[in-house]
Amino acid sequence: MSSQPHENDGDWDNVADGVEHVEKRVTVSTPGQKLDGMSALVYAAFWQQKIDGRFRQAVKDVSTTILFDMIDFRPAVLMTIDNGDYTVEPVEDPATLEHAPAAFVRGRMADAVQLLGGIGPVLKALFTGKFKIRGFRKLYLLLKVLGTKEVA
Amino acid sequence: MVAGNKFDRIMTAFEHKQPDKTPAFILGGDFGFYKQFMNKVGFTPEEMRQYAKDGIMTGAPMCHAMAVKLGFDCDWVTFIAMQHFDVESRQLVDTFGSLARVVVSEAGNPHAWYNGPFLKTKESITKWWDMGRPAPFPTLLMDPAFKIQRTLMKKYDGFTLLVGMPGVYEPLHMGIGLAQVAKFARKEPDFLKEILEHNFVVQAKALDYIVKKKAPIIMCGDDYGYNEGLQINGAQWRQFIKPFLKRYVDIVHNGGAKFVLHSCGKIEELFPDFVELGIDGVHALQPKLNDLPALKQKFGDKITMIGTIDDTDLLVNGTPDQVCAAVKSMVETLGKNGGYIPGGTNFLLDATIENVQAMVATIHSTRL
Repeated sequence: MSSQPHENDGDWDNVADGVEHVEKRVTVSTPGQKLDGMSALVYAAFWQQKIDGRFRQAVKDVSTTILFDMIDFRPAVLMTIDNGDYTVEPVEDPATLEHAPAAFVRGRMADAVQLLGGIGPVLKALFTGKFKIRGFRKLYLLLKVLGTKEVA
Repeated sequence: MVAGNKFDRIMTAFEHKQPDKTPAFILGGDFGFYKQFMNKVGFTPEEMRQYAKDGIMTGAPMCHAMAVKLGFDCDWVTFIAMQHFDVESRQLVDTFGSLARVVVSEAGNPHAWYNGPFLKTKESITKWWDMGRPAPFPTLLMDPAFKIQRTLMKKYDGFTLLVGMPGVYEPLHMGIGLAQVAKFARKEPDFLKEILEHNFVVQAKALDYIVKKKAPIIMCGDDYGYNEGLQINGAQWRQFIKPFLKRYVDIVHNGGAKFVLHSCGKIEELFPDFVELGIDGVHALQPKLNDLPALKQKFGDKITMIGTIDDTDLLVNGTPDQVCAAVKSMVETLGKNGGYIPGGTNFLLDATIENVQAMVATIHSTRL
């Protein structure tokens, strides 16, 4: 498994002043259910930030929903961000969602794994429209989570 | 006694000289262990900020910040080639054909599992090749590790990141299955060698890339053993695996780096071969499965022994006092004249933090 550093592109310099030690502020909320497939992948992607408090810091004022819909790897996944935490929920048929998600990514998992190959495949995927994206700012928020250097 | 920083001590151990302090190694700690670490030890906000800024807050099971905080001297990162998705079985497939699955337990802990071979017939193997696979390791995923390795070395007292990738045997049997390995070894040995050659094309490229990035120690994972003995018999290992392992070692040595093999199970009968190949260090070496004092006596001046502390029972069920006593005895037996970098024998799963802390403290404090 490759480990990756996450460069911060935001300004977080002023948020940690006066905070207590992190062990008192660790979030250990769990989904209370076994997850598999795409739901497990999405949940696992942000798990470490959830455990060590960086997720809470990055989304403390955010309440939103993001749908990940890999049409060859359904059920889709509805990620709900609220109260500095997240939950994931498998969605068998995204068309039946009562409320439209604030953001979504739709594509094929077979194409998504190709993105690991480098910048070339990423640009190709964007320009050939292999992935349909709505709510880019919400999705950017998730990237920001991975770059967060502070805890809450 | 040779004094210095963590890297100096590690290289002194590899040179079979006595470092001033025995260095400690951690392969990694899985998700549950990381959660336990955060609940019992954790990071201060200042540490978190610094570690994140330095890029060492990497994901479990290879969180370098955790290894630094726990006082280890070196840890590991290994590259994978998870580039394909099989629509029919709806599973991730690595480029050598092994299926992987990610699940989350009821306790909320993620786990990644090997889920069997994808290339179950000779036809599927040749079709895989026709599709241009195995495909090269994505350098996009490899590059950050080298920056981390330099940062750890420069800013964390010579903390040493052993960089690696899969070895020869694991990608083979995980991709096509043990049954086919056994069948081809007996009935179609040339085809088995052909598979290994196909795999080696991308493995050699990745290894070359790692070597060019000047990683000082390269550690490849290749489990050869069960608890009772080798997974394939020694003659077949020598016929099929050893020649390719030699190519691995030669690439690494030609680039000026040390070669370390991680290999679980009862593997002691392969040590003469490891010496012949020039392997610099071997990790895992479960003490209940291998006669470690005998290995030290016979090969201790040629191969650095890494790991050796039982993480299936001692670090899980023992008390810190029992851990201290066992580790002290181990260091006194195996640590004479260097050639020894102790630590757990695998990723830490359900070892207690208290026992791991006791292990590291004893490794560092035992004087020889």
